[in-house]
Amino acid sequence: MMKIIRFIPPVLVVIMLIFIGSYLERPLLVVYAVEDSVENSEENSVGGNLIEKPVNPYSYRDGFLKIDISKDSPLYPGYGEGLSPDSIYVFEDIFEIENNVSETGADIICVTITSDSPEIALFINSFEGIWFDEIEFTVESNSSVKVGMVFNTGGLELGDIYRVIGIKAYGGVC
Amino acid sequence: MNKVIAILMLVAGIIVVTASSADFAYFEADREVKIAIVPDDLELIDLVPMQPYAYINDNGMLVLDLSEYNGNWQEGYGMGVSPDSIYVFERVFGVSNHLWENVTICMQVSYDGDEELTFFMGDYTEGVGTDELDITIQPGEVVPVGIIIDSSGLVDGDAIDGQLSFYAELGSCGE
Repeated sequence: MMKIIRFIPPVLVVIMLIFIGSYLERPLLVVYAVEDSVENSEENSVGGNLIEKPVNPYSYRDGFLKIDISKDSPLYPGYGEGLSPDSIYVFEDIFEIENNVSETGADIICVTITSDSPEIALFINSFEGIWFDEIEFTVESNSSVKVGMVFNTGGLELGDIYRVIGIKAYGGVC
Repeated sequence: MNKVIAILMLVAGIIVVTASSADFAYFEADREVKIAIVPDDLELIDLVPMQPYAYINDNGMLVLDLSEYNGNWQEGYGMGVSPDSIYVFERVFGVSNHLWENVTICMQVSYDGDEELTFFMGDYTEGVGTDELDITIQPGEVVPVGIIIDSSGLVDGDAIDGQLSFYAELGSCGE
């Protein structure tokens, strides 16, 4: 894991305060370049929390974005314990990616979300009958994009399954 | 001294330009997706057996079985339907809406297979069967579905075999 922290010498900070104070309303810059790994997600969640926005009830924030359709979800209402085998479930708006410029500092961001599992596919906005293993989209300043998911439980046996989706983002147009 | 401040200002200006474009440089992480695979009668949109002719098999799937291979069949019970008959079974299974977000759904029940199998909601009345049954299901509601089996043209020993399909969409039917 590699972390690069951009450091601004205190002298310059003082001068910027005097002359260009408005720029300093932003948090100091922390640039993350992080290995993807579920285990260290707690550590790399900072960058994610800038853009990941869970939408209840099938996702929530537990330090970082989690998607959970099981009785273990804190949002489990007491009925509907999961998905059955040999079904296809399509959910619009499982979570959202937002570009809050005051937090990201980028007028536009490019986001890629990937699923390596045959059971999970992705789409954005409204479902129009098409889904993808990988979606790439830009998010304009102060707006958000809805991410939907398709779950295909064909051939699965009863029991919990754990999968991951990869989220990458950078400032700029795709 | 003025000169020094001017240089510092310049440096500060350069830093700010660099900084504002680098606030959000790169982010990459994996996020966990957990899904419980559960039997048909426990899932978000469940199918619940309401008569012994329907049951949930070992894979968690609803099965309609009117033969001696049904686990609920016992010695001395009827072993099937007879040729050239129309059998009506009310409330064979229920479809329910246990989605977490409390929304109304429209479910279409259909059948693809041998002979004719038709469906109806609730109690049977003449001519009620349809091969594509649309049911509006409110949150938490269970709607009983009956089936009509038309065995005309079949002879003793024939079997009817096919697949039930369930397709649900957000909103009430006919919207």
